[in-house]
Amino acid sequence: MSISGERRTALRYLLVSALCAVFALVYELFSHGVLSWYMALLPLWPLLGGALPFGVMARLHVRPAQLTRCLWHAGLAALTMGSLMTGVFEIYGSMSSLVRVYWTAGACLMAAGLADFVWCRFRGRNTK
Amino acid sequence: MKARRAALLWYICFACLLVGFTLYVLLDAFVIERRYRAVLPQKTVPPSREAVLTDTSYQDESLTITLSEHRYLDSTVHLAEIVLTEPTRLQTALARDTFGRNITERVADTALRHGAILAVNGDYYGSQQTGYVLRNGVIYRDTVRSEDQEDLVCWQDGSMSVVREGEVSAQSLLDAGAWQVFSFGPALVRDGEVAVGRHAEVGNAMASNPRTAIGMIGPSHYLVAVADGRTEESAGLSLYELASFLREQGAQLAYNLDGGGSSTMIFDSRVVNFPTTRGWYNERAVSDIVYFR
Repeated sequence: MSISGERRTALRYLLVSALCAVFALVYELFSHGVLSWYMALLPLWPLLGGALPFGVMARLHVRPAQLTRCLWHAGLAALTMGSLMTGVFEIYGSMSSLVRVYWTAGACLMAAGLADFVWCRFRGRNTK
Repeated sequence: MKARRAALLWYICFACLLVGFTLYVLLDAFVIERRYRAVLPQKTVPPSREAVLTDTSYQDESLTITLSEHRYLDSTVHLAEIVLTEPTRLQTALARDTFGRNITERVADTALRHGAILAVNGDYYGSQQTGYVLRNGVIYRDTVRSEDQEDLVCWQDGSMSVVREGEVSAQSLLDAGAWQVFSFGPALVRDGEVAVGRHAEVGNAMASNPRTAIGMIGPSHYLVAVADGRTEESAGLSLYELASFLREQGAQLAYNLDGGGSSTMIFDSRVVNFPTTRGWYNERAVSDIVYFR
């Protein structure tokens, strides 16, 4: 994958963030005035967790390893879904103990991705 | 190329797992029925009573119910004033006589099966996995929702009070003579004064909505209010407005129950208010009711 791949990834995350913003806005419109910060801040997950770091990496010409990407993307997807589901339950006025699986899995996957990135940097496997 | 193929396979598998798990979470929360416990049948048959029943009132030797309709801040509020000499005639029932999750039934159907004279929806315990559930002197759930969760206790002597789950256990409430415990809230009126701020709301709700509330003027002298909302005819009330209304009606203590599409009042087997979902008439199935018989 060329360096511009990071820029492409950042742009994809910007698009995902925009879609999340639209979803959150429409959901809140039909929520009878019930506000959930998890739903309102849903677009921030792909924005700050995806578009921002990959945009920075594109600028710095850093290309993370494939394993790093796989773990990071999966973790971010889990956290974003966790935020969405928590918002859904808060707006409905209910709860589910299963939602914590999203947060736990997402955090673990992203932590693993970050660890792999640092390890690869240490080993010199991330390319410039 | 091999690495890219492996990555693609990873993304596909993870996406399938995420979507599948999300579907299961939604089904588990809203669809899949879980029956934990059947409700114990009532041990006694209520005595036959000579009663006088009209469209807006009911009276026998130990129970008087008076219905009235009020216009309050562009909303229609249905108010029932109840006077009892037998406090245990305030009863509750669970949907399909089963304690569980996603076990629901229309208020009218539950009320009819239990011979209710007056009934309203309860605290929709089934939408939560924690919070005390104590009904007709039986504990069904004793897990604390939060230290600050305010519960309404209806005592066997006819009085009511509000307690925090973090300060008292369900068992100790039962041992002290609790007859019913509801876990929703917040408390609307305490000691005759409005107990919620102007911007206080249930969870994160910050709008006028249909509401259901129960209150006490004095021991064995209750108020039950259901406000219509989300329609052009009746906008609905905020918690502060609901509390103000009940205070004006003389409530010394009042407590908010489940509202929104759940708010339903039944009198003599007919629906008194206008329950709505998205502005259309709809009697929502709920997990429990409060009734008088």
